Amino acid sequence: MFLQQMINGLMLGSAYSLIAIGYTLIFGVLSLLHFAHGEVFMMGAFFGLYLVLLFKVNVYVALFGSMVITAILGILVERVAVRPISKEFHLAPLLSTVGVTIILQDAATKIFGGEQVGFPETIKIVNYPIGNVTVTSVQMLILATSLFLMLVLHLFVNRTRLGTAMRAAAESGRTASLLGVNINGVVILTFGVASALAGAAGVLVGLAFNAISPFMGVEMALKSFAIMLLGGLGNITGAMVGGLILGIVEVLSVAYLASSYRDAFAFGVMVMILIFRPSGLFGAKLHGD
Amino acid sequence: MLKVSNLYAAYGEILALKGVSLEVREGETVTLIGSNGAGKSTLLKTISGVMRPRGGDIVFDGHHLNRMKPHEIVRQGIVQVQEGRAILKRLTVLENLEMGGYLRPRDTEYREDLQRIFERFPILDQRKQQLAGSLSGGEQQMLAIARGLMAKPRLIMMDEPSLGLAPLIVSEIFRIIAEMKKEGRTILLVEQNARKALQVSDRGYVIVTGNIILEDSCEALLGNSEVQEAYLGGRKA
Ligand SMILES: Nc1ncnc2c1ncn2[C@@H]1O[C@H](COP(=O)(O)OP(=O)(O)OP(=O)(O)O)[C@@H](O)[C@H]1O
Ligand SMILES: [Mg+2]
Repeated sequence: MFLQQMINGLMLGSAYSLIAIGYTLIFGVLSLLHFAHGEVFMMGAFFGLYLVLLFKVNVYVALFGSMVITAILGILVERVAVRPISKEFHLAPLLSTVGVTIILQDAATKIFGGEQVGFPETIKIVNYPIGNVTVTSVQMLILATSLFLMLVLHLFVNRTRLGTAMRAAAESGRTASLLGVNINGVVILTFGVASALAGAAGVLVGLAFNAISPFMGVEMALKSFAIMLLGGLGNITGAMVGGLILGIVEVLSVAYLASSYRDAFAFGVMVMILIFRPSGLFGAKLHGD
Repeated sequence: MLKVSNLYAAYGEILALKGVSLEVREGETVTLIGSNGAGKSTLLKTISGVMRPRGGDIVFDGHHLNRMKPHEIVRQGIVQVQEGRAILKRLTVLENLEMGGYLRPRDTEYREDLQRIFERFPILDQRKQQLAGSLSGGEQQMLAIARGLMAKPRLIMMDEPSLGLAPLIVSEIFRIIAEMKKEGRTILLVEQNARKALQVSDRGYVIVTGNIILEDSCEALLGNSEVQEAYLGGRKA
């Protein structure tokens, strides 16, 4: 039973992680809280769903297709609502992404309707008993996909020239540009990657909970934002681990405490951590000194 | 090679460069001296594209740099080693050097250059897997210069490389600059340590509140009584 809960927690947490990583990447490079990131996640769920409904593709194609479309959506958001806004007034870009949140929610409601919908039985649920634990094929897909994506991202950020440029730009845009890095290019890349991860999370959460709606991004965004704080601002590994921790805490609190206190408990733990470790579990990585 | 003519730059409404003209020829080491707030860093920042000029012209090998972004100017072959070192503290020493060579193909020449850097700066070789933020101030300055060299620049601009370092390290830095000069590199050096800087250079400019007031060979500047008075701590010490 406990192990079963852990697996459920990991599954939920890995979705949180994917979204929190995106937040963290964007915050790292732009010092911007991308408010609409939760809505990019929500759009990702709808894109995946409609790829399945309209084109009868399998779940892998839906996942990949949704990542591509959300990447483009994220890049568009940056181009239209972030880049033209003056960075001199710190609240202006933030407000602008709040605007995007509302626009995307309204657009989704108009286009897809305001009802909660779910994926058709695209991948048949198969239960795999492992010892006294049961894992479904959906759970396996979610865990495997998110861990795979996080591994790829980790290798990209730490082992490639472009990934190193991204970290350099996150530490100091000016210094990176004086070394030959095209900062606009890095920003576009960052929005693309972050949004694709959110899109993937959207499809995975859609598969897991059958509750796709235009408003599913709000709570996710709030939690992922908290996870970013938990993991340490701008710390990618922190966001990964923080997401998994929150997922597990949430599921365990439902199992062993009261389900109605689930979010309160999760946020309570986070507040406690921030009281005792203001820079997050793994230390913030802020700009400059 | 580099020709700056009648250059203006400003922070908001405050002019920091008021018609600066300066030239650096291929293979030359040129020093720019001036007191705090004279506009030395502003000039380097305007050449490297961090700041947009308000007027005037910057030409490098026949290309106008005025409207280029910093990364495009690096591509032209100009590298700025910033004031206060500005190494990337969260990257390893090796990653910093790799970022120096960001625009270069990873070919044999690149690997040889990296090898040569490690021979010249053994401390960087020993520490290459450590975070650059863990280096001492002097080591960080070595890294900043080494990173600049990794770009294989045609012109390297250094902003106060000896600032805030212990005397022994300062001598080491100037020894490196003299070595770079001997290799035939083209260098534009900004320094408060005017005597040492003039000793390793060919020509010098003196800047006062955004204006170049003097330009001469280094011997002449070292012998100039006004320069001695203002920048060399009075008559020859
Ligand atoms: N970011 C800034 N905002 C506003 N004014 C600035 C800024 N940076 C420099 N200035 C002003 O521009 C003028 C030139 O500054 P600059 O940094 O070029 O001087 P400097 O010669 O490099 O001095 P130092 O030897 O202290 O480094 C000074 O009056 C300074 O106060
Ligand atoms: Mg300066």
